[in-house]
Amino acid sequence: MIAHMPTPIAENRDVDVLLVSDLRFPGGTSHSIATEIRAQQRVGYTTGLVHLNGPLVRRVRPVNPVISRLVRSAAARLFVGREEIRTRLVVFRHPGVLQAAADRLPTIVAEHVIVLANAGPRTLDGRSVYDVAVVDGIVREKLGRAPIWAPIGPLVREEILADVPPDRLAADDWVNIIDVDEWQRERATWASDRPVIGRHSRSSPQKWPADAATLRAVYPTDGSWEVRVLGGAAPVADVLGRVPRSWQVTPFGAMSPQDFLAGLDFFVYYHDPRWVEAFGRTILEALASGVPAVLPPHFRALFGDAAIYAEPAQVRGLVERLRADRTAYDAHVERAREEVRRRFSFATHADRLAAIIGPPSRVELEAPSGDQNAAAGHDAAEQPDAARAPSEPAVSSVAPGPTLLTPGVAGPRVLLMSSNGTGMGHLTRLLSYARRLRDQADVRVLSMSQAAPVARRLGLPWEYLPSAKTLGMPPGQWRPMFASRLVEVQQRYRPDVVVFDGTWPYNGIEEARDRVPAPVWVWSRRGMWRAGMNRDQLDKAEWFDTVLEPGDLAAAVDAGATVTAPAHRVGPVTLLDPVDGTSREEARHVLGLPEEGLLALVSLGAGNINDTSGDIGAAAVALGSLGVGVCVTVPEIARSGAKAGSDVHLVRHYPLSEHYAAFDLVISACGYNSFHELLRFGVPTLFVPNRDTMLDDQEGRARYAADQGWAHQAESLVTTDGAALMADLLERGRGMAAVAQRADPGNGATDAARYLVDLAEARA
Amino acid sequence: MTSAGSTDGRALRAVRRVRRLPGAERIAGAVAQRLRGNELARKAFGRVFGLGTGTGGPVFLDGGELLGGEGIEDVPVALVVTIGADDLPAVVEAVAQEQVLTAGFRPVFVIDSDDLAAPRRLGYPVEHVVPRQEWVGDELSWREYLGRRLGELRKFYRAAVVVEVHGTDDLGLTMLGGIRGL
Repeated sequence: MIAHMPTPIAENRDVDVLLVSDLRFPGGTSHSIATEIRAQQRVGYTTGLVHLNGPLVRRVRPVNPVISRLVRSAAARLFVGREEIRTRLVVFRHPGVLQAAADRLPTIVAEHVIVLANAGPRTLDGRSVYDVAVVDGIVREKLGRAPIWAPIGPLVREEILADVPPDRLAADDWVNIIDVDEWQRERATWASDRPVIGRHSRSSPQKWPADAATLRAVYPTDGSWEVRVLGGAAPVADVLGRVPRSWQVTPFGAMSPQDFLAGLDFFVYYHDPRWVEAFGRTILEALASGVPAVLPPHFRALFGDAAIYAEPAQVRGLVERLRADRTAYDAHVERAREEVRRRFSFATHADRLAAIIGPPSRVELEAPSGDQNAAAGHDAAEQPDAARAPSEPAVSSVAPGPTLLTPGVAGPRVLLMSSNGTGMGHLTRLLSYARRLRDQADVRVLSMSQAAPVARRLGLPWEYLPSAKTLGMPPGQWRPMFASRLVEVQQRYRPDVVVFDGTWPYNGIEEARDRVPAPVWVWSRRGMWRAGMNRDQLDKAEWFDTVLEPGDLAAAVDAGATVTAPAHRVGPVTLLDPVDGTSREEARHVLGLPEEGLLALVSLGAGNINDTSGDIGAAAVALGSLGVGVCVTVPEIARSGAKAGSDVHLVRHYPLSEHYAAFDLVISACGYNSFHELLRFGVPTLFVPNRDTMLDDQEGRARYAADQGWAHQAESLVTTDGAALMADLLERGRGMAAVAQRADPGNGATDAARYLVDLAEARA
Repeated sequence: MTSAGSTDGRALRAVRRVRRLPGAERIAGAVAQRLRGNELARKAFGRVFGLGTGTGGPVFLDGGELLGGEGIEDVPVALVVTIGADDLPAVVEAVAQEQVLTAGFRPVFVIDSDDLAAPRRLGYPVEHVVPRQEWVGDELSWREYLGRRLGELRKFYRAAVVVEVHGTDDLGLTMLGGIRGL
């Protein structure tokens, strides 16, 4: 009868290469990402981006413009949201970002996973930037695959060598690349009558030599050479007392690196020897530009013959010699350029991608009968099915029925107002009243629940009012808007009765009542509050004309504050009655579930079905041991990020009680609605109460049901032998539930509806 | 502009620390009473606790789950009106991309469809207005109702801008992208 269709998953979240990083980095990391995007675009690979807010960018800031330009020009697609992304290769650039923001990852289905270690695991002073084992574990848990660790260069390789399993350390470094043609500049003559050296870097202390002797040796301060600096030189002042007057220092961004490099004869780059320069993108830019790079010897492992290496004391002599021999200088430039093309160019990147994932998808599509794959050494048969064509979860959903708006029903006007809550309990209770009011009253729903639109499936107009919690506001700031909105709706709708369902009436209600005094106000307030809790809250009954209390099958053990409070009491309220339920065959058909076999519904709220240290995961394992298929409702999946497969079925339907016959067993939390729907519908149930509720005594309900022999209960499935209880329910559960059905006094929703109509008519 | 080391900056940092404490709002009320004679501290305090009438939107407003870092409370609020949008999830995604790319605004979506989940899936605040086709008011036209609602919403959220976005190639997106420069 009522189906709720969530927002459909965004389409086309399928790319060849997915790059995951903090896209806000101001420096080399973002430039490296941008360069790889362009390289991939040039040969036809499609690129997706996922941005994570990492710990190294502390203030809110935009995506680096070099990347955002590529997104705006459609060279890459920026994915937002948690919906599944499918990719042939995902590259996590910067393990520290992933470690800090893993909880923000969307679901990623990837054939190949690379963690690109573009920095070492520790800072200069020994602080941890990331932990290899932790990051490795995150990837395995989130993607279900063990990643390949690819260091950006030899120094980082050395740093992570001991921590990465040897079989998962990439044979080759994942070096940065550059568009050589774009950077290349011809230098027919010397830049000046003196040697012109320079460097380009962020103005960080670690980027500069730490002692004065080294500084003066590599960057002369006597004016004999022209020394040009792009990016600032403030740390130099800390070492030398001031920035030498003979130097030309240009702030970061004041000119393009290409133009800066074009004016140099030599690029000389030395840094604090205690610091590990993971790569040195500016060096690569200099090499591509065609200016010889003079570097400390440790860079030889990375740049090989592309650069010239010297200890600081040797720099002066080396530069002077090459400055005096233009032929040797030009020969070196040519050799360096060839080396850069061979090892750091777009073609290098295309080759390494092809080695992992084969040619771009578009090429594959155009290629005749798999020849392309063969040519690339790419065996499609080796591709795991789960990645190439992920098995669709058994999602069942019902197309929305016709909208049944019934404006203008004769009779009193009833405004049903629900608080926020953590689930749909308050809204569902109101809809239970509404279903019985429809033919005798004009009903409208005003809800703070995001699920408010389900009211339309009952043919009810609805309005939404965001709660303070949803807006992230303190109640004091939210209250004026709440009161004002409440007044506005009442002035427009002119209800005879307003029913508020919630355990915590909000400040602002009394103000709204003062301004619109006519309606009768009813507090729909269930019982089973935790013993001794929130007694003062009962004083809020003064804001209302009357209290309506839906009954509880566990009322005999209710020890909460509401027990002795005045109220109009009705039987337990549920939206549907057993007579509304479908047959097992129809239920399974509607929900898209297998016709045959045992199936259990697991509905425990938050948790991860793959995490056996939690209740949901433990339930799945226990059911598996009994040969029972597992069904989970969409919210659980949405929260956990779990991937449904052939043995996990997603069910999407509201209200699910309509099709409870589909299940042989339900493992459920013990909130008011679930508890009463399951028992009323005679479903064999194992209750696992949510112990974290502020006020709702779920343990009391579960215990009472177990004591009465209606159901089983377990405090935790991790510490209890859940399989034994489930096996018993499969055998005796129907009989147990039948006992509960015999104890059911009937649905109180009809009486509640009659009470509300009576109130309205009495007011009239 | 508030420099990091200025008295104003120190006052802001101090009250931000207070803000994180349990019962911060109650403390705010009590402290505000005692700050009446100190204009500078009052200004800083009002800004942090949203007690004044600053421009930049309320300090306490969820900007969605995509932006991160210090200073979110200074990001302007944009009322994004999507009434009549055919494909709301696509519009929300386009707005979200613009937000990530520019870090320039905190959107509050104003919708008239049943798809509350579209903005909420990214944690954005959403306001719903009665759709025109469902309007049955006889004393007020739907346009008058809408005008009043938008006015109230703009005032309540202290929105720096109200932008209409109906599609993924809408000029409204360009306007959102330029908010920091408006």
